[in-house]
Amino acid sequence: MSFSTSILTFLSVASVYIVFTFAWGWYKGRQEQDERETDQDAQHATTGGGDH
Amino acid sequence: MALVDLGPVFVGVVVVYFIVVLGIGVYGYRTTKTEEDFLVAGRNIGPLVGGATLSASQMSAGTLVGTFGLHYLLGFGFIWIWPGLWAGWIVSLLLVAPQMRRFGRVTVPDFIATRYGDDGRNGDYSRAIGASLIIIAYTVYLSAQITAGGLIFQSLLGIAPAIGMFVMAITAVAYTSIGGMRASILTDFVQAVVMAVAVVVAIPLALYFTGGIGTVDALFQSFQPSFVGNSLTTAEIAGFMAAFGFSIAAAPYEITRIYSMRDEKTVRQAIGITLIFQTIIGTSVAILGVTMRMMFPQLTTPDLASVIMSLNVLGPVLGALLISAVFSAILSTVDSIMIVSGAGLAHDIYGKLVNPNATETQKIWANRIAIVVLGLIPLGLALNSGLLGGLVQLIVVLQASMMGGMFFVPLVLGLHWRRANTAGGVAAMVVGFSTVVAWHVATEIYGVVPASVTAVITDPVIPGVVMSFVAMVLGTYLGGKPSKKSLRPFFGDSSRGRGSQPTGSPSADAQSEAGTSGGDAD
Repeated sequence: MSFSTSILTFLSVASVYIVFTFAWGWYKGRQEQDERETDQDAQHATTGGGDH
Repeated sequence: MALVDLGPVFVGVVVVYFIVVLGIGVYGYRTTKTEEDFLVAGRNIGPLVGGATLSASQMSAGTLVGTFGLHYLLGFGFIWIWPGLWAGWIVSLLLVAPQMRRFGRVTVPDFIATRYGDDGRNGDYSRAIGASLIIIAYTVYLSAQITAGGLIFQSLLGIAPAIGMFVMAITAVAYTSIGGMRASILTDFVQAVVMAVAVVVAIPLALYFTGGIGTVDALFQSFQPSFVGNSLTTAEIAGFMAAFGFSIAAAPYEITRIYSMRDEKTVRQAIGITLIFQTIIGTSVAILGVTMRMMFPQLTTPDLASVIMSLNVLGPVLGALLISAVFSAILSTVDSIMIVSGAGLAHDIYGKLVNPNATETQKIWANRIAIVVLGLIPLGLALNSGLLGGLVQLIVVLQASMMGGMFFVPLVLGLHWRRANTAGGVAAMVVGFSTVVAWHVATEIYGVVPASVTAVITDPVIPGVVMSFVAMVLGTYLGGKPSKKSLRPFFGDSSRGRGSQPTGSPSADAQSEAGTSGGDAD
């Protein structure tokens, strides 16, 4: 394997880790946002609509 | 004899660097009003600085000196240690770091005392066990870091190692005790940036001197192709993954930095950013190690390859900057460990067990005094290396494995398994720690474990975690169910289902600690 290929192979593996990390962060962020909104909606419904 | 010519440019760069570090210490002092400011930087660290500090506390001088030297000696293939190491960060991303940030306290023993607090003393026993082991292991480990600093001073500047040790220890104690975690994290940021810039800028210069990447390749392909290929086997990489996966995810000095970040989103982004930093630095160091072998094939001490490069390739300013980065790398590791062992003594032992009614001012000063004491004890040990005999070497070799064996299972199962209880958690800590030590003694000292076994189980943390897991399960099922009080910060109100948010806010925690919402134990 040439030196350039070795470097590119390593960088490809590294990019898999990095992309996975940010993709997971984005996915969990959205999931938490949805859960917060669901909790707020439930709270809103329990209090009868609050100040509307 | 000194390797570095102490010319005005070198001295100027180093002096500016140390002024910046001490200035950061003073800034940290001015912005520290509470113990939370001191130990977790007020929890307002963003993703970029957070990612840099995770990188700097993980990469010690070993990266710029030891790893560089290994690439010089073994070739490019050693780079595959990084993906093994990053497995630890992925485990942390998925199972530990965001959850610990949501919990939002100050130390790992805080977690232990809360989650495994059904010991009849509100978690005091669990906390004492965790804090004591951290203090002992890290204090001894610090002595090795200070010793390494002294030896690097000797190699570079030709001065007695004792002077180098003294300078390293006093500098770290000064800015850490003054500025706390904020100073520690900001100096880490400076260090990570300096390290990344220095090695990245060095690549085109090194390739210019060697005639380009094609020339390097052609030379090594002609007589040793494996030097520029992938020399580690899949089994070796898997071994690194297992060892680092447990150790990094449960390292108390990394978790304290996780606590310092703004929120869980920041934690996830910071882990992504630390992987970017490590990819840049790891790749650069590997390429530079290979090119240095081509330029200087006869170095008798491979560990000095990065220093020789600084002097011959980078020029006076960048070279001095890289050497400053080496010192800085040692300092950032020392300050990271110092603040955690200091917190173990001041926050966990003094603040929680001895004087729970201490004021904020008393707590801050207790932390400062603890850092001074736990910084000077390792200096004493380093200057008198025979004082503890083989114990120092044992702890130095094993500290990461000890922390992984002791905390990985209690952290992961405590965060994700509702049934885990105090008996299981304490048993897991003690058994995990003991197994790591016993495995090391059995394999390295008495050699009673067959080579076929040690070829597969490459690190004591692996049997440590396995036995810790067994102890956790046995202890948990032999003991009673955990109290609601111990579960609430991690699983929220059980009546609201899995998606509910736990009470991680400081106010909720304070109420819980005061007993206003924690009286409903099973």
